[in-house]
Amino acid sequence: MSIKPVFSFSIDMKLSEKGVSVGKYDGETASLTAITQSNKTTSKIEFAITAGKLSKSSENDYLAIGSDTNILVYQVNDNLEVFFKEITEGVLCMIIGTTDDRAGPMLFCGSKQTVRGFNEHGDEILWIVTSCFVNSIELFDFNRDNELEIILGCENEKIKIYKNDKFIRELNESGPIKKVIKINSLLAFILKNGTIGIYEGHVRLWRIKAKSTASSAASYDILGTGHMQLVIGWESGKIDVRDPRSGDVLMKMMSSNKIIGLLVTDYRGLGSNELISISEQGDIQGYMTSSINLAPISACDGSQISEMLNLKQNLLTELIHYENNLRVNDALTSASDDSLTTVKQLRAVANDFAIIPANTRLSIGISADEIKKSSVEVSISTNNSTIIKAVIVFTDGIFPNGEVLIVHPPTKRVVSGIYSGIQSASSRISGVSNIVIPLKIPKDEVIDVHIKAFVGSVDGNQFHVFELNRQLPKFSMYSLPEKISGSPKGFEEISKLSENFSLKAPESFVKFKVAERVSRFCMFINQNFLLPADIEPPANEIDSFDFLKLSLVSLRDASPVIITFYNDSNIIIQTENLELAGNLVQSIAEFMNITNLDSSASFPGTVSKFHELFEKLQGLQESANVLRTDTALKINLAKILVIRAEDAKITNMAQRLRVGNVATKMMTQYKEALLQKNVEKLVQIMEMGK
Amino acid sequence: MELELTRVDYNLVGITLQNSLKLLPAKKAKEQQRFVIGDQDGVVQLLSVKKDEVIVHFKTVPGNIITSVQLGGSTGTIHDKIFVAYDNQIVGYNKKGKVFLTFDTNLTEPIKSLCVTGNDLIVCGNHVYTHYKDCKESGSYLCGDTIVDCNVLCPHNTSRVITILACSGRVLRLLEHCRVRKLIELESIPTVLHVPKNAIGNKILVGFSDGRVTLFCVNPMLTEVKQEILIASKDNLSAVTCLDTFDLYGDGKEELIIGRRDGTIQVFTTMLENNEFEMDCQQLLYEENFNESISCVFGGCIGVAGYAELIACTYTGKVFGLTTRTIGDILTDAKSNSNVVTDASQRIQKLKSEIEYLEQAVTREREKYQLSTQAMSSGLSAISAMAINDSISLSADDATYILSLELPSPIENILVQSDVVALEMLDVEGNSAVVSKSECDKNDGNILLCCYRCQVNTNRLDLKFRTVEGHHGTLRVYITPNIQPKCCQLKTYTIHPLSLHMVVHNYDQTRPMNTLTLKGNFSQGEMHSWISNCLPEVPERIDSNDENVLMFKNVFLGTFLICVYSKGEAEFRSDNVTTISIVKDFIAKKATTKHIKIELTINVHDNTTEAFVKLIEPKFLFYNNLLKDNKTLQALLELNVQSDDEYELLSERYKMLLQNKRDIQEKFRKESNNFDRLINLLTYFYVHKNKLKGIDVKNRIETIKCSLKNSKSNSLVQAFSEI
Repeated sequence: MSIKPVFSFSIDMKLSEKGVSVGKYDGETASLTAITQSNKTTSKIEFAITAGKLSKSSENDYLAIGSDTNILVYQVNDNLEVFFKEITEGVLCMIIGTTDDRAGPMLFCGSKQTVRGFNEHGDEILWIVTSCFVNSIELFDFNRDNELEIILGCENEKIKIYKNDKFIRELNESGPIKKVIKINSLLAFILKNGTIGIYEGHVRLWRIKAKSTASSAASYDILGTGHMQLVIGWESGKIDVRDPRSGDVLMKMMSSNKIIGLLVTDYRGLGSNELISISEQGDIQGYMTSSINLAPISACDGSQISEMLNLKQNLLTELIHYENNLRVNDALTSASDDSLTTVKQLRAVANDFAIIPANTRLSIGISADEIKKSSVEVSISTNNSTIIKAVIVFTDGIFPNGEVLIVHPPTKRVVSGIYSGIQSASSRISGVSNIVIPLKIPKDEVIDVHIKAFVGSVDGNQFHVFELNRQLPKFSMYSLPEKISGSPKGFEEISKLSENFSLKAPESFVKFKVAERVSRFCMFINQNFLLPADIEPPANEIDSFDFLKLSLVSLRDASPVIITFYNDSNIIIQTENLELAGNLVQSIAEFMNITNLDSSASFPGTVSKFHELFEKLQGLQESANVLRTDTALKINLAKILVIRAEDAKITNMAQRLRVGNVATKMMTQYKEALLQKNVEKLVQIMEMGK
Repeated sequence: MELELTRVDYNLVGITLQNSLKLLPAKKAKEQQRFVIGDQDGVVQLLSVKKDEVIVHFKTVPGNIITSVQLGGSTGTIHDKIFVAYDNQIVGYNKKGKVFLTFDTNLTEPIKSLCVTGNDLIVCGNHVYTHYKDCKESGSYLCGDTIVDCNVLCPHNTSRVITILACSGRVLRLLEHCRVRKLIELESIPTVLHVPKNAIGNKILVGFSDGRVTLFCVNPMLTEVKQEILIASKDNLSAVTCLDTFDLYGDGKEELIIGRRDGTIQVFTTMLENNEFEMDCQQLLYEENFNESISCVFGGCIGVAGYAELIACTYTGKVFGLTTRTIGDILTDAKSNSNVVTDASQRIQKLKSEIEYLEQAVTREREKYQLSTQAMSSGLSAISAMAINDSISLSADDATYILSLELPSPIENILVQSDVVALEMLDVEGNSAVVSKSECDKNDGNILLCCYRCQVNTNRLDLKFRTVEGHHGTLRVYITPNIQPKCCQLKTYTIHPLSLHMVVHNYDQTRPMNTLTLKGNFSQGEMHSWISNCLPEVPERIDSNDENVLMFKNVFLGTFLICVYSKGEAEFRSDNVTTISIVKDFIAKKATTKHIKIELTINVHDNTTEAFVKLIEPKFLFYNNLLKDNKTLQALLELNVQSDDEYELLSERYKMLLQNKRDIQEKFRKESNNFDRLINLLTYFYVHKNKLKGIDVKNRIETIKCSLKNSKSNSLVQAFSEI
């Protein structure tokens, strides 16, 4: 089943993904606006455009053009510049809309560090520091308070939600966010790694990862079901129509060119919205809502039956597996009095079956690496002589080249033993029953790890797949300085570990007060750190302890972190890492359900670094200015040359109107006029020849 | 596309391979036909369709794997007797399911292909062809390579029986009275034979692993062979798995129907009825991909009387029709008969209850299995292997390998591991699996570790990779189907040192050759096994005891390798020094491990260098120009030429570039990385040439690469002489 476009045309220009927008510049008819790729001639300038109603008084949409240095707001219909602003940190994305009725419509402009909001006069009335690249902005009622919030899709893998300039919440994703788009009451997101998904409030309804990267999404009822579908345009040229709540694909369309934009607007002015797809090659196609409901037809065209046949087949296969399993077991029990026959029989079926003792278990241990102190180690072992042929670790966002780490021990046959990780190959072993996998986790975040281990015999070519899912706590990359046993530990024992702490205690610290039961703190530590043993609160909570001092070492840079909980509810976190201190404070506050928390902090190291950087920045700004003037000069020169070329063309034509001496004379006069910058005279010369 | 076909799902059977399904002939035209299927579970069933309902006429109990289902009957009668090959037995069923023949062939290997004509039975194993007349052996023939498919020609309906064997060594063998009468050399590996029914018995259609379809015409004396490529091989076309010719329009002209490994079914127009050889105007009427490799496809009348239809079965056992009856037809028919919609929903209901029943059974068994895996249990967990339909082939188009894997169940993920240096996985268009590369340590024997995570309902996946000659090893693929209890299967593939060579039947004798002569105390068998370890496609057996000759061609460069060997002596000739050097290194190493002393003589002809470079030159210049053109084109596009005036100002070359912009960009996207590959090969050629002369130039590799890459000269010979 396919849907044919209602209109289609091509503008035969390569278009940039950075900007496609539709605006009613005369207040009535929709115009499509796009950026061509060839605009990149002078330097690597990133552009963003958007169109919308910025003025309270005018019905016309304004067009905003953002580059890496400035914003220009333009009134297309009257060919008028509304305002021009320098944005030194560059513009990455823009949107026009109203989040605050008093302030009126605003142009929101996301850059490498900030989000700014301008009104129709170009006054900056909103300023949010995001401290990360803002790739996409959307205005959306996130918390259902009937007001729009500002949703930012950021490069640092976070979706941030602001109520005007107040931060409300962030949602962590598995890759840099490319786009956030509202789909009715839901929020769709597109990641640069090919993932797409939907949030309802802060709950993620679904997310899927594809080979290609999605470039745009829109909400449109293309199938005529009466409900909106989620339409996704992909770089591969595919357009998916999905159920927004489940992510199920309802229909697919294919074109050969990268889709760079999907827009919904009444493009032809017929009174109903159309879905418009725009490809990189400049092909533009419009689709309309189907007049008949296509959903049941697409289900009826045999796909339902073939789906059911698939299901039936899978069930049958599983049943056959169980039947065969019983058959082999029966055959073996009947022959069990003669162990030689058993072995022979096993050999006979070994190639057709994956055979392991039924009670084979796979145990998994996760701990800080004890020797090198540089990573978290996942150790996997079987409880018998079966070997682990390979292990695939799936997790998002911690591996450099994708979503997996595969461990495949050498295949040469030697004795069984422990195989540790991908780094060591000192012992040449093949039949391994124990594998240690080092994981380096780049960010302090909860990580879901999905492990698939292939278990079988050394010679076999069939393996059982054991699937294990584990969650690594947020601060798993901080470990105790000493090895301790696995039994629960009291406060004194833990605090004593600090006495032998060889590293110098950090000078910087943050101090705050949290009035909570001490058992809650134990729970916080046990849940958020990967310690070999649980910390037990003292039996009599109130006064049986002075403090709990937890000294930790970062597995990333071996820097020390000391967290001390005092009996008087004071907490001191000592670390030179300001970000870590912040993360710990936020996590404790979240865990204890604290909405307001005050703290005192001292980070002398960071402050002096800040000063240093600030001075450097000033120097850089100066040189940037010099460079910019230089560029401006060059651009002017280029412009002058282009104008000269145009002049030459026109003059040539003008010259061709005259012949002989008259023509040469005209040229001399023309040159004179050009030098005097006398435009009237130039025109006169062209028209009259003198 | 002209032909509109609608898919109708009929049934689900066990795994089916080529020759699993046959359509019984109809007594009258346009009358509904019955079809017989034999699957890998050993079940034979005769089915027909009545009002969307599948009717089973007979069905046998599961037994041995069925390798072929054929129809036959004595001359002059309707050919509706069913012959089924199990293991090394042939069983005949009549249309009521009664066994009228059980014939034990006593062959040492299982029957791979079967053909029935009159009272003649043609039976083939992997290497042996045996001919039976009235169930009595009348002769046999042994092939060195593998027999892929067999068929017969009966010229002018005489009692002559000419057997055609399609063999993996890129030949068709035509035999009469078990003697080879004609050997037809082929450019690619044949996969399927089809003899058009209505022809006078001189035409053979052959499908190939590179996707092409060729028509062969032989004269009755079998002395002359005319051939015409009906469908050419291009753009990594998937292998042909089945062929049929059928008149779908009812206009007296037969259409060509092709089923492919990647699940594509195509219909083309042909002029088969015409005895003249003018089949150059093929027009594609229909093409659709069904994602599961097609085992059989036939044209006939199945679902509804009066409507022509294609019936196909897939590897995973789906049997479906592609009917010419459109939705419009159904709606018109529905006016007179309102049952159509209810028929469909009744089927769905029936399927639903079947599934419900199965789900309950599965839940019960799953619990039982779980109990059996408790700690105290002493039993085993034995999960049967899943049949994997795999094939690996070297594509001559772009000198890459395609490994296609297909399972009867959906694939969850595929782990690829390799210890072959420079083996590189490539992207396959239309492949939706998410690829992730893992870091790996080559000290553990891991040069490549990556994982393909499949999207739901993916039963087959094509993997594409590129090799560099001189490096060999193993490619290991672990396939995990998404079926409980979860198990995975390991498949291994050998990558030979001369991985980009394929078997050919003749070579350009005018080319100057370098030679490598080996003398020593080795048997012919030993040398044969070394060669088969060094090169792909080497036949398992040696045809003769005296001098054996094998010829190969490098598909990327077009150079040849000729191996002539007998007991104690072997000679290798090639116009490519690199090839000779690789053979030398490999065989010397093999011989050393076997403690066999070998005397080596190498004769490098200096003029082979120039000939080799000249051979590569067009390719080199093509890629070099493509790169330059693309660079210039990008700059031209930046200019954003809008008006004709501006366009006219451009030079002819620039105009040409702008005119062919899409073509250039497409070519660049597809082939640009071949330039680096060529540079590498040329560099290694230089290194090996010097190595054979005893000069080590390894430290100059990067300089050579650079100077070749940046060579401005329009002559590679000159560029090469300058390094």
